[in-house]
Amino acid sequence: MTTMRPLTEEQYAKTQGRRNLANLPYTEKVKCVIELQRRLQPIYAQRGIYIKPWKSWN
Amino acid sequence: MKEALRVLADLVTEGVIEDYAIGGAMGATFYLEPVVTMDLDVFVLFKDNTSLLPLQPIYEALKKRGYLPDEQLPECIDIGGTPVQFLPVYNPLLEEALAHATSFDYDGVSARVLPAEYLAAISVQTGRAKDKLRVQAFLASERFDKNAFAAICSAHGLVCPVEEGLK
Repeated sequence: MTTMRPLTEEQYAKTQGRRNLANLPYTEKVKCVIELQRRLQPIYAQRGIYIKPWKSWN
Repeated sequence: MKEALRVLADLVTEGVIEDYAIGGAMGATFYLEPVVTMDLDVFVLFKDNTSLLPLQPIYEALKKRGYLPDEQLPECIDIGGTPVQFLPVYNPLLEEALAHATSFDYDGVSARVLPAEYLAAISVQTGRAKDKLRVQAFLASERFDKNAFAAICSAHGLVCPVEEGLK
């Protein structure tokens, strides 16, 4: 049986970043979702898909 | 978002719906890292579940408050800038999930969300590509109870992705 290689620093940082995001309060996560919507809006618009980011987290 | 949650609580208080809980991507986001979605999926339970048009009372109550269907997502109602999609509880898994929903505080407003293990089981049942990815994300999550998830899947005749690994 082969042993698993330990995570590289970059892989660990990515995993830790995901953990940190998962541990954010829900209000902060909703802010992230709205930011993702805002960033996606122009990309989708170029493809002819029009999305409307949510107005606000609160 | 806060306005939508406040309105949902009001619908329960007014007796329009018996109970509700956030599901879908925004439900998963409660437990996992945030993922992009365009609507807020809300599972609703009614006192009278024999109606052929179960969502009609919700739409009427919201229309009276001035909330109308979203322009881009017509299956959703725009509540304060957040498109909310109401989904009636339509099977035993969803009924059980809603019975186990947990309350949380969202900036001073009380809201309800489905438990992580039930959200994952619903994703197994729904079975779309994005649902499979969501199940994987739950399985990789530290706070996810794989045994509870396996038990839910087993009780509802679903093929559990972790069952073999748990034996």
